[in-house]
Amino acid sequence: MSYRGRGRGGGYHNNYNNNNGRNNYNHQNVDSYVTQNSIPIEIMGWNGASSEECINFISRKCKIVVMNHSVDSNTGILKGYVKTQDQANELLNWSGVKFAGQSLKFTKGTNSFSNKMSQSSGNSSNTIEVITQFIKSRYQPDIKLLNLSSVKHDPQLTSQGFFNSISTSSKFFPALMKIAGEIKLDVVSVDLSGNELTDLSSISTLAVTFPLLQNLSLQNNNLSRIKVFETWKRKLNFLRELLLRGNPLMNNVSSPSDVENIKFEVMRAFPRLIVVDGEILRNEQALNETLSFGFTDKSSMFFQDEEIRNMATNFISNYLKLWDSNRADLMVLYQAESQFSMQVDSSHPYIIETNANSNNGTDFGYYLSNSRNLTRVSSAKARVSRVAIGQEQIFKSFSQLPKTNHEILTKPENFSVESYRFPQLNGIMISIHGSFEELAKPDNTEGLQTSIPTGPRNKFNNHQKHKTIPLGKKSFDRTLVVIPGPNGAMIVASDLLLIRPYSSLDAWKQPQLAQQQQQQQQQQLPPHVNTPPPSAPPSSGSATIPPVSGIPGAIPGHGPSVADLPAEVKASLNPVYQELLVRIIVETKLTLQYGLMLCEQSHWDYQQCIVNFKNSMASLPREAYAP
Amino acid sequence: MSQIHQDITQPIEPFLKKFLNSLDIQYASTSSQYPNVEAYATQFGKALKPSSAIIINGAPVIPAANSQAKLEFQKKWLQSPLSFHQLNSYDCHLIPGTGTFIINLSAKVRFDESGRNRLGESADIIPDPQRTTRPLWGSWFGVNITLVVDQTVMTNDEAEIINSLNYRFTFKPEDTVIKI
Repeated sequence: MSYRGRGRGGGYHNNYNNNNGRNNYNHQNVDSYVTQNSIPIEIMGWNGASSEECINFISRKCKIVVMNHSVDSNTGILKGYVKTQDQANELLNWSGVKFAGQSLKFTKGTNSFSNKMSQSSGNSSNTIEVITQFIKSRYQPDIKLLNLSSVKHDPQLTSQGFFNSISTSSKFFPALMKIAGEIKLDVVSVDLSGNELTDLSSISTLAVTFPLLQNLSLQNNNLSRIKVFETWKRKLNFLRELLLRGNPLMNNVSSPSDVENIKFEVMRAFPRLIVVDGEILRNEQALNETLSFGFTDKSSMFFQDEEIRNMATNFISNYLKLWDSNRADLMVLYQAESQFSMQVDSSHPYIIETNANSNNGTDFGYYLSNSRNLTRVSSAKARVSRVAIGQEQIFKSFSQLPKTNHEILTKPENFSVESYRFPQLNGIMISIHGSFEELAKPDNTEGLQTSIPTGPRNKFNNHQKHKTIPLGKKSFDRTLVVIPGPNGAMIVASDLLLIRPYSSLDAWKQPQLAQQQQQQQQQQLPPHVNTPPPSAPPSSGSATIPPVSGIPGAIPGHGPSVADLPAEVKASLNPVYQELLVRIIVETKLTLQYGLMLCEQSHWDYQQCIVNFKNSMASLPREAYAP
Repeated sequence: MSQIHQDITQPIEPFLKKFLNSLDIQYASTSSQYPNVEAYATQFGKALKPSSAIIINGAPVIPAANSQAKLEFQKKWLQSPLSFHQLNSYDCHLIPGTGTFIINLSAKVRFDESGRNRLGESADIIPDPQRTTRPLWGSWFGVNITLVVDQTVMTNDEAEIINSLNYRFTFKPEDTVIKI
């Protein structure tokens, strides 16, 4: 997975891959998908620059993402994986391309990761098993420490012949990091002391597996070069304490300035580093303040007051439902003076999904001909004509946009909303941010072929007549001004829609780490213990969820508890939602599936759940209830 | 309504760029020097009205007693790392009868990750002689901003004309050092 901003990316930011544990909960599936679909490739002639730069270069130049790359310390070959055989073949054709003064040579790797390990110690599943057991035996959950000191002297591993040859030992740590990432340990500290490490190449993936690592010991190794930390430069952004004693680097210093230089080097590499070998290098409090956005409160939902919450949530769910099903039904909301326009921000930052099926998130073929991105549309005529005014024009604009599905009812956590008063019209402003899936081409495609580039920078309107525009996912921001009409109706005065590349990582979500920790805490509880409802909901999204503790009645002593929820359901819900779901299932006797549906459609509001349940009781099928 | 049929949106872009630039100004640079921190901080979003409705990442900016939302915003913005915004896209509607424009803009923003705050102060206990005062920009965040701006922006964009500001991060890079 590589981050890409506008135009060429580059530098050290770009090679986060998928094992970093900060991804969403289906990361394990994604990971196994990657493993199944990975074709190993080998790259030679890359040494003119860093391996990261080479991988980024390939991504830019060949449009092929090389995942999970590592450098074989014996052969110097840069190894990695591509998604498909086709990509591998395509890459072979790029052999000879110039990079950093040399020609790159691509070959297909012959061994998958597990094969490589199996060569040295028999059965590959056995190898993984042994390493998994080893990791678990070295993990101390109470202090979240993974103790990997002196692995070569571990009797369990040496008896398996792990370190019989140099090549096996150089593969051991990369394998260990990969497996450690897969078992998703909550690790804050890693002890790598006493491992005869001369550089960090064999443990470079530590930064990928544990990007949030805080404490690291590299004591008593053979690190001698001051530049050794370049590998991890700005990749362990939360490293707080580092132990380096007992390395030639620290022992062979000839002057005090050498010591200073080492400190500066590690401080440059690790932006949040506070302590090295017991010496405090930075003022921690000041640093934390400096590296935080000043506005510390955040929420996925903002409603100015209760009335606005009701108006806005009703409006949005109905609006998007009709937008997805039949846009003609929305026209009652628009009047003669209503305005609608759509703009495309094709250069908004996003993550290239290397392994999801959500490609095509960046083809804006259906949108560009009508885009009113005013930084790009320079002609006055086009600027005026791209605002649709009144029902007829607005309906035409709507029908020129692809048919969509917004998962706001099933996945409200993927959306964020702000709504507040617009006093000038006694109305409200509603801003929605989220994503949708394109399901079919627009009903009206007449504008597509005749579109003419309207500005010098508008170079995207090059669609051939016969070219089909692929459908995919997109993200959007939409701001509506809604005013009360006669008889309680609502009128949209202004509707500004912005389309941007799909991005699954949403800035307003709860920090993944906190979520993971909550899930882990939840999982650590014995299955029969009924967790008490938390006294306050988590800060993110708190605006939508009333405090659960305020709900009258308690879960009866018998019946399902949170611990009985299937793991995949638990993984997708925060603990507050889990509690609510269980409560609803107990009280309504609905099945898990219907209970979940009810909660989602009631926006995870207990009172709303009960009201909706009572209203729809009569129409629910028999199978909605638990047997 | 007749106004809508002519292009009246030309002055908006320079205004938006000025607004974003006002969030990105440096305390001490070759082009600007401020006599004190207050003179610097009151430049942030100076086109905001003193009592503007301001929402940042879904949380309202609530002023302390005897203060105003704008001032509170400026105080908090001062505590944020040095920023750099780039306008990617915007669109706007003049709402008939209200004398206001609704503007929705899409931008990207990156922050200085060098460990210096906006005033150039470092948390390092021993100052690194090799380190320049140049910002060390992190990866781009995505941001979406909605503004309600007085129609008078067409003739004078230097005044306090922003009625409301809704600032929402829409993309957070995975490798950022900055906590949001």
